[in-house]
Amino acid sequence: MRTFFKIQIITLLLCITPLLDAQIIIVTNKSSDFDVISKEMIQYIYLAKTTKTQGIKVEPLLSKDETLHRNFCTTILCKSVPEYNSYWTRLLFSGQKSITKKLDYKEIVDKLKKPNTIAYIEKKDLKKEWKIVYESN
Amino acid sequence: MKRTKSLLYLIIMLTFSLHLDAIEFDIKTFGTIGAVYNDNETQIFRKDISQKDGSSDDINFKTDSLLGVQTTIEIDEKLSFTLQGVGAYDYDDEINAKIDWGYLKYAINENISIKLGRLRTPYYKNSQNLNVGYSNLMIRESVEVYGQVPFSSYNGLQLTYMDIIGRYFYELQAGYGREELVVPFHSINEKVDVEIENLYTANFTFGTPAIQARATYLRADITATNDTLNQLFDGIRLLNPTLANSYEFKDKKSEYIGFGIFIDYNNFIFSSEYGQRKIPSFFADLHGYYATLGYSFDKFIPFITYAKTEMDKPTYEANSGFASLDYILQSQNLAQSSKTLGVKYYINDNLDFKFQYEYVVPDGEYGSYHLNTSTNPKSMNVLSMALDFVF
Repeated sequence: MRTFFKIQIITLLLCITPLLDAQIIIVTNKSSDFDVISKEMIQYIYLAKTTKTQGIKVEPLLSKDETLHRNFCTTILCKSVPEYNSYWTRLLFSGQKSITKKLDYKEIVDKLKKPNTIAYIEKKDLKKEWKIVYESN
Repeated sequence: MKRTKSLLYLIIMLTFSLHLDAIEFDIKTFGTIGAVYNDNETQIFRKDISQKDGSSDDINFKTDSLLGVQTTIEIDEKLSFTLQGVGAYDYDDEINAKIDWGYLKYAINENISIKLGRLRTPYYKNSQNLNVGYSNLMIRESVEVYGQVPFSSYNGLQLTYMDIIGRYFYELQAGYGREELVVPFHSINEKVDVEIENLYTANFTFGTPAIQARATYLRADITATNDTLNQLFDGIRLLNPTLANSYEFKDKKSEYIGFGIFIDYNNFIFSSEYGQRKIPSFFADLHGYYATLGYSFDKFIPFITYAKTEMDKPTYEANSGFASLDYILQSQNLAQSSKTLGVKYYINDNLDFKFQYEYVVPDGEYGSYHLNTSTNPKSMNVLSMALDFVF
């Protein structure tokens, strides 16, 4: 009986863990030429299907923070981290130019000074010089 | 041929010399260390027909092991040069290092790009990254589809157009070129010189990040000859010119048609491809398909696959009236089916480990992609493991 309850608790924890993930947002510098990007367009940018949104060239950034990156992959890209790695390996070894290397928070803050650059962050880390272009529910 | 190559090298060198200050180099390596065990001693299990050795009631390390290097040189935002070389066991059972592909790419704008040089023939979804195990789910793609055509690269050009309409993306590719290669003809223990002229390629991919569909079409004039085949068909032609012309592999208009559907949604992975080759010669027509279903438990991805190749007409019933021709026709039988159960485990951003079990059933006499010493080949239980790396 006790084993049964243990299994139930573990199952419950597994189910609610994604809900406990911090809310993820896509931000850009306030001087960027766009205010909103759809989820599909973010997917296409991070999957290298396009480099533009609303006719404006965008530079996407990747985070070194493993939890944040996992949250971004599953919530926004609807892929697991290994699947995303696998996808990019396929592109890179097909001659595709890679997205810039993964950056830590300080580097992302610095890179976001450049207009039309986008990054995923936790909502609590939002700075006043940035604007939210996409917010997950 | 030499002229084309020299011209290409000249263009590349001139381009480099004009942009020396802005050039960015990038070198990557990839590879697989693999081991295969097949429990049937009367058959040699191979990755595809380009290999000579494989597993036959023993553990074989040659089937999947390979090492590759890729260099990309970014000349400027629009112009780049990419070269990929691969070393693996070949049809002489020796390690052969070759330039798999290398091309100059020019992005005309956001949507259009052109590639010039040695390119991958775009039969399948994973044509480009076929040798990069880390990027694929299975240890090897289903030979029932991926093994149908024995050449994978050509010299020429390719134009690509890609765009997004609303929620959907699409990509159109068209190519033109030629190729020369040597293909093993295991049943007579010889090699055949193959010339591919007027190769036209076209493929179209459409979908969303979660679901995509793909269609491809290739056409070429192909000639495959050697002294034995020339003597055989010259002899037959004296008695029956129609028969000789219908089976001789000389300047034959050949086609490949393929379709695929790929889903990656909420951790479910599904992929299926269908391919059909039409070559009006002794190299018989066939078609094949596979379907793979997997589920991603983050680092673990278990999967199952069913694959099948069927000859359009059974070749083992060949009765041309010429024993030597019948022998060649019979040995073209590649009909087989296979069921695969496996798992891919991502160790980290550079390594993965894969394990899979395959049950391969040859169909008909002399059947299957794998070399056999029996006219009635039996089924094989095949265990494989692989460590893939990218750096």
